[in-house]
Amino acid sequence: MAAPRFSALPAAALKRVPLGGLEAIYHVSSGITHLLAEPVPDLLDALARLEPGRFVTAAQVLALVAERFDIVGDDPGEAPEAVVSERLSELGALGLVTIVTDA
Amino acid sequence: MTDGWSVARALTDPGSVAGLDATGWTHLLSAARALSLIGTLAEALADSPVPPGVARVLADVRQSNVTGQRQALWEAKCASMALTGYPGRVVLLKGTAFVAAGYDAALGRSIGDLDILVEHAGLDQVEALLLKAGWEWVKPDPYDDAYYRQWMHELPPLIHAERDRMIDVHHTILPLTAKPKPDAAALIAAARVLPSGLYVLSPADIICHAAAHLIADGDMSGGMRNLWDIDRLVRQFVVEEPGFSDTLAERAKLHGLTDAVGRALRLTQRLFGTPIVFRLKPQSRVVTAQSGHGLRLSPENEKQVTASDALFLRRITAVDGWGRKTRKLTRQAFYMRSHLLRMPPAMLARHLWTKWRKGHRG
Amino acid sequence: MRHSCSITVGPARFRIGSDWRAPVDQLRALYQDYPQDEGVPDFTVRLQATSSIRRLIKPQVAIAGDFTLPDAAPLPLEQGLLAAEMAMNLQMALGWRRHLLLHASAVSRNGRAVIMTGVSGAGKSTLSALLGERGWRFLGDEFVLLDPDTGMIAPFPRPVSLKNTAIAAMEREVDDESRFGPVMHDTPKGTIRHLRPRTEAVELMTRETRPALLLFPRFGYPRAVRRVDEAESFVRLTQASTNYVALGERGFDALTGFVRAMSACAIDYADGEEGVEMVERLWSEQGGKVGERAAAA
Repeated sequence: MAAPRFSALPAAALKRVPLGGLEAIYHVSSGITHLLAEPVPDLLDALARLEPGRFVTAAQVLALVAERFDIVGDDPGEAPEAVVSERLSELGALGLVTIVTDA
Repeated sequence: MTDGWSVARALTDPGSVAGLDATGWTHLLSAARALSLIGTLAEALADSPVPPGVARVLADVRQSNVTGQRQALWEAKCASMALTGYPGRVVLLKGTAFVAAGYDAALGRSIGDLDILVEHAGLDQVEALLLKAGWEWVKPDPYDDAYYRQWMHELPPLIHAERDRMIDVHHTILPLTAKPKPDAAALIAAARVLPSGLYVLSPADIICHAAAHLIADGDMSGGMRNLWDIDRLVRQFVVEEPGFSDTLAERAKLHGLTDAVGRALRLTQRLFGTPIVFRLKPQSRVVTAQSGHGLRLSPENEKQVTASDALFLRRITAVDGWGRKTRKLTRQAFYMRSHLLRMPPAMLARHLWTKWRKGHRG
Repeated sequence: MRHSCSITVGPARFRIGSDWRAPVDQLRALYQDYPQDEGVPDFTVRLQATSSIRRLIKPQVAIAGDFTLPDAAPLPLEQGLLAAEMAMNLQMALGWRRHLLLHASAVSRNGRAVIMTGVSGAGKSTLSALLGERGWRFLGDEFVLLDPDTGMIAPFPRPVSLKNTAIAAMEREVDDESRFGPVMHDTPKGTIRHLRPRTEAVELMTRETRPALLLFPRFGYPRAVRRVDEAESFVRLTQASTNYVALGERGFDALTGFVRAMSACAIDYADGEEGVEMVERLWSEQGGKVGERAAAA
């Protein structure tokens, strides 16, 4: 199976407010509020800066945020893009990003 | 008039509220709330001049409508995501279906649990997928569980641990103990797909489902809202669906629900002036009549039907200006009736006995 | 119904119907300072017999109304006043949409409010009652109503529901027996007695005030003060709100705006006197200042 690719929701789909070091995110279509710690808001920012409708892989997202974050896996052997992919998949399950998995 | 009839009149003729005084409004709002029609009333009166205090109450209700329908659609989406690996059709039922399909009946409709229909053979897989996606059993009681699985038309209710929302997974639209046996496979086969990939019942089957609920399920406490659904749906389908009357008659017959649909349509006609699209007796011959025509029945049938229709109507409109269910004798009769309809008496006795023995409240 | 009355508290009008006279008479007395005119109510509450025989024999009050909970246990008739209060709270908690509702108490001074929130038993109710007797305007001991459009607090100064030891404490504080309701023993919450707020608090209850200081008090612990950051305040207040989810985006805007404009502290205090003193001190250190900032924003 090919690697999943990710895309931001339309800007109007989320309301985001920084609260101290965290970020409160209101997801309009579910009415659910999420409280996210870094680097998750930065992952959303990175996706949101791309042109609308463009899907990118976790490795590409990692490259976009690499300047600001030194993302490492829990295990020494775990690849950083696997960490990013996992976080983005969680966001996808919450409906906060769009995921496609090519056949 | 301080009962359900005043709610029916306000819904069908919003101008009729113009003369209400404070007491009249108070009673109307309480009765509408008790009938689960306050959301619908708020939308119906959205453009009518109302006193300021009433306007504030109705604005709150409209806000709740928006939130409730958004949550319902999201819940349907969550179920759809959870069931991605299920190859069969997932059919939305009741309020969520109306909203998802954009039917007029969705306007102001309150929505509780998410109800879906899947084929019987798919139940195990659907159940497993939902459990995997975070839904849990509401009551982990082996007796109740066995009871549901043996006799009901749905799985025991599941609740999502994080979102605290219930889902009812049906494999047909009436309890297996009810006399009519709707053709579940035909319901699913005729369902219509929505852009989301979820399905809703075909227009005629939606009416059959609503009618089945009204006649054969529950203690009728949601009866008036159910009839309002039917009124809105019929008015829309008559215009938008070619041959709707004939199709409805055929489908009602197929599902064994000709009497139920006939009854429901007579009641909506009486309460809301719904156009008559369906004639069931004496020969189940279909006619399309214009609004305002009465039903023509054989004299002996007419007498019988009129009497029991009147009983239904009394029960359905039985609410007072404090939102209390009134006319207790009629209610009691229906309560017994609903139990008898759901379960043959011996089974009912066994069910209650098992409950008592286990120390349940009843 | 046989007996009924109408009561307005802050922006909400209630219609209360009862199968018995006593609870209605008690309500009329307890709410004698409040408007009792009969317009279209926001909420209807019903105190009804659990069965027709139970209206007369060992009467039990079932709590009903526009909004009900399926498993609300009935109360004996002697606790009918409590049943009415619980039912009114329930209507607000489940039905109110014009404000973001916070389960909190509040008092204000110079048009700047202190909001105190915490779990039941944390002392927020008694603390607000004490402050209300000592130069602060009492805004409510149960719900704080935050206007999503303006960020202002609408007072909801219902009679204070005093529990157990707080009853004696307030009886010492208030030198006017007529402000107290009947003593109700053996309720689900122990002994309960209501205290009518000072007349000024009721007279001013339509006048909104600006929130300035958010406190999370805990009664019965050694004295301590801890700053609470915005995210923690936000999470704790979403849990203290009964209609945050129901308000959707308006609730989100209101609450994020609220915690960002507010100075917030968790305070532990050993007794009421210490609690009053700590609120006064935090107020003079931070409340006024933060209030000015919020007003300017």
